[in-house]
Amino acid sequence: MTTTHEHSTNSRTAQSRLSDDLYRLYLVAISWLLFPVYGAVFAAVLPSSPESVEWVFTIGVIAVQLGWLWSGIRGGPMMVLQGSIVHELLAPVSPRQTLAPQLLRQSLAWAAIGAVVSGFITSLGGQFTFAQAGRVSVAGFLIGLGSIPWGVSVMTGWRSPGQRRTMLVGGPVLAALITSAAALTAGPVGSNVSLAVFTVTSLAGFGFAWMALDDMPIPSLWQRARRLESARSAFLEVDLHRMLVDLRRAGESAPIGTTRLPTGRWLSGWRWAAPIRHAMPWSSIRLVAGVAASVLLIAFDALEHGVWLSVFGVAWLFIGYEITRGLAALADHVGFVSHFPGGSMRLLVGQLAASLIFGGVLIAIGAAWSIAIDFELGAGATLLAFAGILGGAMQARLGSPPTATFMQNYGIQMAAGLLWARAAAAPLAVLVMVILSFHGYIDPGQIVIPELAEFDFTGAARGVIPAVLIGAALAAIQPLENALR
Amino acid sequence: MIKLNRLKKGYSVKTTIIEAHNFEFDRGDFIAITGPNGTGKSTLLLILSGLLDPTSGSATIDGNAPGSREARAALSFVPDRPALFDDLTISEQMFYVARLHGLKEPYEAAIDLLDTLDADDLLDRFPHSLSKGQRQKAGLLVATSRPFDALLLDEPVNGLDRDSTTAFVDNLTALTEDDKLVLVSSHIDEVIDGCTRVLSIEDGQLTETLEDNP
Repeated sequence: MTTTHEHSTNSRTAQSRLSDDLYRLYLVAISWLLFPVYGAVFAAVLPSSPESVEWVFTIGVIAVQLGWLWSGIRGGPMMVLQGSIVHELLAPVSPRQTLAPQLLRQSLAWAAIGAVVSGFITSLGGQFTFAQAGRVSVAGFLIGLGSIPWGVSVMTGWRSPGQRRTMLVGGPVLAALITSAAALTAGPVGSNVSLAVFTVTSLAGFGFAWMALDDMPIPSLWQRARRLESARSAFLEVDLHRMLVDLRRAGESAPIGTTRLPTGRWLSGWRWAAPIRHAMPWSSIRLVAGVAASVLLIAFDALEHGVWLSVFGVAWLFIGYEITRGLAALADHVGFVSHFPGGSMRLLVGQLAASLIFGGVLIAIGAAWSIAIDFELGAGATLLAFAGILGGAMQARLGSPPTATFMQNYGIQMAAGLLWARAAAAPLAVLVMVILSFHGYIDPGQIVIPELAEFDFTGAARGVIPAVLIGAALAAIQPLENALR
Repeated sequence: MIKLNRLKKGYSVKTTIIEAHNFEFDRGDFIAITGPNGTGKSTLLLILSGLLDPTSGSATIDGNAPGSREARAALSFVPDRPALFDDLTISEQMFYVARLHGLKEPYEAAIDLLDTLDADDLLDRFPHSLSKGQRQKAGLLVATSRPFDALLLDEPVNGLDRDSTTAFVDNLTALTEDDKLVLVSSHIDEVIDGCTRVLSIEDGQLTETLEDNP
C-alpha cells in the first residue's frame, strides 16, 4: 500500500469521468442530428400540423413537470449507487459534497435527452430546419435540466417536518405552475419569453435542490440503489426482462406505506381485484388518466393529426395494460397460488372480474360514441383500442416476473430475449395499426359496414369486443397454461 | 455504545419482522446475530447503519440516531453484497474511503486484515474481475479502511474458504481487544464460536441466547 495508489485514484476517476462525459456528448450530438431524419420519414407517413406539434410540446412540458414532482413524492429521480451510499453518504461528511456532482451529471443527462426528444418532435411538424429545432431543443434542455432538482427538493421536503416541508415541496410546485403557465401562454416553446422563464425556474430548482441535498433520505436512496444494482447486473447478463422488472421496482417505492404482499399473511380485500404487486388506487389512476387522455383527444378533434393519433394508440396501450395485467401477474404467480390454495380461486375470480368490468365500461363508451356521434371515427378508434388492449396484454406479461417454465425450456437469456421481442411487438402493432388506419388501408367503415350494413353495430360490437378482450386475457395468461400443462 | 429501545420493524403496523426490546452492545463486544433466513438479521443491521427506518422504537449509537453524522463516523457497515465502486481498483477504493474520513492512507485495521486474508493480489484489481469470495474480502478491506468504533458485518464470510474464515474471525477478535464493537450476522459455526455474545431471532423476537461465550 503506497501513496501512488492515492494519485492513481485521482487520475483514474478524472479520466474515466472525462471519457464518459465525452462519449455522452458524442451520443447527444449524433442523436440530435440523426433523429430528425427519422422524424421526417415518420412525418411523411403520418403528417401533423405545426399547431398539433406545438400542443404536444405544451402538454409535454406540463407532463414532465408533474412527472418529476410525482417522482419526488415516490422516492425521487436521483439514482445513487450502493458504493456511494455505503462509503460516501455514510461517511461523516456533508451528503451534499457527494450528491451535488451526481445531481448535476444526472440533470445534464436528462437535459440532453430533453433536447434530443424536442428536436425529434419538431421534425414531426414538417418543414424542419436545424435552426428552428435548435431553439426548441434549448427549451427541452432547460426543462430536462430543471426537472430533476425539483424532484430532489420534493423528495426531501416530503419526508421533512414543518416549514421545511412547505418550502421544499411548495417551491417546486410553484415553479411547475409558472413553467406550465409559460408553456401555455408564452407563445411557441422556443420563444424568448418561454426560454427566459424556463431558465429562471431551472436555476431556482438547483437552488432548492442545494438546500435539500444535505437531508436526502438515505434509506430511500438505499432501497432504490439495491434495485438498480440488480437491474444493472441483469443488463450485463443481457437479461432485459429482469432488468425491466428491476427498473420498474426502483421507480415504484410507495409514498405512504407499502404495497408489497407480506408472505404468509391474509390477503386484504383490494388484492382480490388488483394485480398482486400493485395497489388498486394506482391502477385506477393510470386507467383514468388513459381514458381522460383519449376523451380529450376526441373532444378536440385531434385524431386527424398523425402525432395525436399515435398518442391515442399509446394511451390505449396503457389502458390495455391496466385491464389485463392483473391476469398477467396472476399467470406468473403459480408459486403464489400454490401458497394460497384456499384463496387462489377468489383471487382469480376477483382479478378476472376487475378486468372485465374495466373493459366493459370502456366498451360501453366506445359503442355509445360510435352510435351517437361519429360512426366511422368511433369504429376506427375502437379498432385502435382493440389493438391497444392486445398490446397492453403483452406489455403486462413483460412486466411480470419470468416463468420457471420459460427459463427451464429456453434458458435465461433466450427467455429474456423472447419476452423482450414479444413485448416490443405490441407497441409496433399499435403503431402499424395507427398508420394503416390513418391512410385508409384499414378502414373501419369498409370492414364493418358492407357485411354488417343491415346489422346493428352494437350487436357486432357485443360479439367482437368481448372476443378481443378474451383473446387479450388468454394472451396474458398463456404462460400459466404452459406451466400447468 | 449501541442501545436498542423497543425497536420494531415491519411491513406495516400489523406485520412485524423483527422486534428488539432493550439491548445494549458495548465496545469490546464480539456479537453474533443468528437465525434462519429471512428472520430480520440484515434488517437489524440496516437500521443500525441508518439505511432503513424502524417502524417504531429507536436505536442509538453513543446517544446519536443512526444515520446522524456522529453515528456515521462511529460505525462502519459491510452489506451482504459488498458495495464497491466499479471504476476504482480495490486499493484505490481503500485510499478513497480513508480520505473521506480524513486519513491519508487506509486505517490500520485494513492493513492488518490485508495480511490476515493474504489479499495483496486483490489490490490492483477491479471489482468486476473478482470471484464472490474475493469480492467479500474486498468489501471487508474497504470497510475497514476508515476509522470506526463499531463494525457491522452482514454475512461476512459467505464465499470465504475455511482458512480465510478462521483467520478473519481471529482478526475480528483482535479488533474487539482494541475496544471495538463487532456485530456480525451469521450462521457459520466458526464465526459464532469466536463471539463473546450470541443473539438469535426467533419468531421475530431478538433474544440473547449466549452471554459471555468463553
